[in-house]
Amino acid sequence: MRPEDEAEFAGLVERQWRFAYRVAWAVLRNAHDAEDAAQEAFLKIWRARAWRGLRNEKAYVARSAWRLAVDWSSRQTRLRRHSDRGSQPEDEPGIEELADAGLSPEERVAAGDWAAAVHRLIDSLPEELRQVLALSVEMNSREIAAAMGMAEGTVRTRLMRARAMLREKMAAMEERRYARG
Amino acid sequence: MRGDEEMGDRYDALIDRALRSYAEPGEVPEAQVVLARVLSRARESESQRRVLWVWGAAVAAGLAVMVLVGMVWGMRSPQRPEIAWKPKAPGVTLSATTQSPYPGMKANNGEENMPRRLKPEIFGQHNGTAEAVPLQNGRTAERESWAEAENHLPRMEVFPMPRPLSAEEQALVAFTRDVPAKVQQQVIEAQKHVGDPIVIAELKIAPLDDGEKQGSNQQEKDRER
Repeated sequence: MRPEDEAEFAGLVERQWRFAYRVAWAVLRNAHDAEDAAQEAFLKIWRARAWRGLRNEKAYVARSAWRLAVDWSSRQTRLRRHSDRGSQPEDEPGIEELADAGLSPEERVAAGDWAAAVHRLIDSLPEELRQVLALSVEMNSREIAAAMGMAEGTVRTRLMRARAMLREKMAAMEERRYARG
Repeated sequence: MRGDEEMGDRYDALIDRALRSYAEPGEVPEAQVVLARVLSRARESESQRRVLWVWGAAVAAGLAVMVLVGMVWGMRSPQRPEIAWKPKAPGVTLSATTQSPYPGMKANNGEENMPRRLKPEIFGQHNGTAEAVPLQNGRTAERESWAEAENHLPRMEVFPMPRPLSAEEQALVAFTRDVPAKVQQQVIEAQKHVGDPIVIAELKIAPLDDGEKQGSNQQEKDRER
């Protein structure tokens, strides 16, 4: 490996690492998994010698990181299902789930913690809507479309649907809160 | 209506604020640390790939050598000596239209329908005696051909297996084809009497007449002179 190649690749990692990590985080919502997935994405870029002559390196890195994160996520889900099947009955919630449950969104709203409540509502969105919404913080709809390999119009539609669903759920939560008094 | 819009705006603002914190991963690992890890993993995988390449190349080379040796061996294996099968009877030529004396058997010169193990390239002659032909590498054609025949050829359903025509039979077939029927009949008739005792007809000499006598006396005198 030539030193100039290494220097060029190092520049790419320094410029885009944080972004790749955030993309992976948006999908995986786990620091370790996000780090591994983003790292794997850069390793793939290195092996493919793909950093040379990139026209839009941000889009390329986003796409690599997003793909790796989605793969990682489905792998983790499979592993979790497998281990759950081995350890405990399916109808009982896992220990992590119980610990994570904490307060319901309504209770969080009542406590004035809207951000946490919305986080839980976002988590409850369908995956294709949740991912687009989470990525919308980092990228505009064109970049998201390029990263996810879909039409820009689809991205916009999903964003609108995600926001509409969130608004509905928030309104319902607030109504229940006022109904309880 | 206006209240709904206001409520929607409020929700949107709440969503935007929550999204910012939702998408914020907190502590992001240092790029330098990640770079070092990625590069070390890349070097490791490259060295593994190199080792795999070396092994792969070695295996491929071994296979190539084996194939080459096989090809050379195949080319060196002795070719079966061609022994022309010719009828021993002089003046008899065989043609592809020779009629077969065996029913259901198409015959030309007998070779086509002959069982492989009796073919002339295997046996020197068609008299059924296995004539071993020594080959270059010391093996015999007989051994090779028997093994080959047993491996590849189905057994004939006819028993005993049809035997090829001998040279004498071939000569007879050619004779019946080429010689006119009249002569054939004469030969057949003559064959019938081959064993008969030879009968020589009685010799009868008629006495000479006078004129002839005088002439003969004159000739005797001339001879004495």
